[in-house]
Amino acid sequence: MRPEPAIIRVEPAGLRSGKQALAVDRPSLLILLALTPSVLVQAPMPDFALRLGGAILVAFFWALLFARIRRRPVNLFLIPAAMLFALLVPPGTLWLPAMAAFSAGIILGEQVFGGRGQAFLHPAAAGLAFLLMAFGDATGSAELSALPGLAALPGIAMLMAAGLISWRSLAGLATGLLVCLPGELPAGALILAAGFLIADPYSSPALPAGRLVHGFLAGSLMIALGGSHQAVLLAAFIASLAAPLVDSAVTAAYLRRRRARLDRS
Amino acid sequence: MFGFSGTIGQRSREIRAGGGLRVHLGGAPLELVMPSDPVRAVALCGADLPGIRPEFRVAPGDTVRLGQTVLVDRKRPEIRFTAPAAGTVSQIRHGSRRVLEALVIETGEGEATEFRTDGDDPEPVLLESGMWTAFLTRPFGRIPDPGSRPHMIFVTAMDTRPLSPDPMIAIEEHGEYFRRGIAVLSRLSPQTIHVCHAPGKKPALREDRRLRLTAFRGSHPAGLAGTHIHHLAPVGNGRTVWNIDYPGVIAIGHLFVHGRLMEEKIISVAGPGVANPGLMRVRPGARIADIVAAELKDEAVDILSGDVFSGRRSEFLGQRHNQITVLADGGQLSFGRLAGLRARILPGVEDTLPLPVDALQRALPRDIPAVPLLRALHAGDAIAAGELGCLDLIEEDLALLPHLGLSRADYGILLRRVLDELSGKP
Repeated sequence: MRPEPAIIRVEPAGLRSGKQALAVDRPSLLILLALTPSVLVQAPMPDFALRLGGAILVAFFWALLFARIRRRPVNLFLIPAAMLFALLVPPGTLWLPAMAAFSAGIILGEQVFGGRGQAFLHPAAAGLAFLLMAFGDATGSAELSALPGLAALPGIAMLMAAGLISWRSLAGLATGLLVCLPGELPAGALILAAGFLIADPYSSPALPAGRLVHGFLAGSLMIALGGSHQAVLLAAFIASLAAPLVDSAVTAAYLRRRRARLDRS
Repeated sequence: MFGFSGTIGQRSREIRAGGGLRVHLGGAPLELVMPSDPVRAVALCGADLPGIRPEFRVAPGDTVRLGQTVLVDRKRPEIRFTAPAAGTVSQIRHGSRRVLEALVIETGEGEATEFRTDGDDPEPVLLESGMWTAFLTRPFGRIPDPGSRPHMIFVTAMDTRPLSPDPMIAIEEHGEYFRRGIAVLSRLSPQTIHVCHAPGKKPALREDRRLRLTAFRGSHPAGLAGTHIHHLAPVGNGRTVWNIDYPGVIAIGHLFVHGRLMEEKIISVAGPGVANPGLMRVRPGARIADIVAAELKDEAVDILSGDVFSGRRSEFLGQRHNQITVLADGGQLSFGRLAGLRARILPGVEDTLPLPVDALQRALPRDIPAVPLLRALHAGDAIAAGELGCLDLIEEDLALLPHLGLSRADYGILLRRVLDELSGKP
């Protein structure tokens, strides 16, 4: 009930012997559950099973490699990340470029920073951005149907109820979209990107005020970039690149206020 | 940031501390003060001597009077700790690394030390009677140096800790002592005294230029001194404020009215493991077993001096604790909305930075940037943590964090390391 002081690092069993334990943390498990209906809905689509399987294998390979080097457990988060990537890859994309892009996303977006919790980018967002920028020719131009997005809505509501994602991110996003007067937006990609990329606690700013700004930025970028499936993905990526900047701006504003309070009192 | 509201009275102002976490624990105390069973032993707890190396003035077997000096600080011998009851010193117990655990006094018949309180300066009496130790400085949460004076004094006249007693019960019952205590504080220091109270529960005090009453609205930690100081007068730039809680003020008032130490304190005995949760009149430093023995349910598992967050397992009631919390087997702490996050975090991820969810922000005084502060504490970056406002805080202000189930790092220890570095004292 009361936690013991945990200042001494406890290494998970199995690490010493070179085996990497899988860290099953509650937040990753909840995200996985939230994404499952979308995956089930999307499963009958052509190529999807292959893409999902490939993405999970790729994610496992890199996670295991880095976990071995770092002697840390493998984080369960890689599975929801792979699911999200497979869902959001524009339909019609070639398999190999997609997997290459996801590899790059995992390595450059997450693992080089120290893995989930240390990185400020979402591996799926980084992978998708990499795909669009590096393999533009191999990328399909079709859009994801609205169904997987709608299937994710209960999961997103659950994550919000659990306090895992902030209403501020979503409110900021909605404001950004409304202010820029959208025409048509791809609902499937929009909902998945909103709930799992833009509102993700690690890829959005850490401070509540920053989350509003970040959501707004993502929403207005989506419109500015053309409102397509690709635009949604790029906007989510660019906004999460800006998240640390937003955080430091919010912190700087706080420090100014605090100094003013110090001088006044 | 500041929500000023309320037009009743000129200086009646209210700050919305915002956020906070509502905790559902069960076993809330009835607002009825009962006498406790006779207390057969009292103690001074080592945990109540922050940063003090004790030098004992008594030995086991000695008889002591109420208010007799039992130990002093080795570095600042003017700072005395006095016996909370007359009796016989039965043991001086040491824990690991020879740190004082408790100086135990078996209560018995005995006289009380009379203190002369008619001098102009209250400081000598406060030091001599041990009541000086009721003050804690911010930054650092230490007992102030004799002769030093604060920039402001913060009186905590509210309590948002789960299952805590309503301070107004003690303040109204001992209204004379409370007012006298405040008067002593104003003689001690020419600076502003802030009395922080709950909305709608304003102590009967006459405000003036130097005595300010401020209401703080919000859930825990809205009632902690760290929150009040953070909002009203952040410390830093060499500025120090003192904090004293309402029982301390009442005890000082009692000392100056009667010339002897107060022998009672109203606390709550509550929690899911207590049969009849309620308020009790007990001796300061009383042995907890003597107080709660008759009240325990079968499923009671954990008895804490203090609240569920910052309390400690202890045989005796702590000097700054106004409650005893008894937890029961199977009783889960629940934060309502956050219940889903109360994770059994596996080893290996348990001392990492917590997941940056909004709940972190609610567990700290509003608008302190939670994640940057925790990051600085993890990294031991004293400069950054100081700028972000860690000087306003002590351990109890971060005590909510481990209970969110996001990280089990002990932020109290991390904060103390940074504070030690900033204070320049090991």
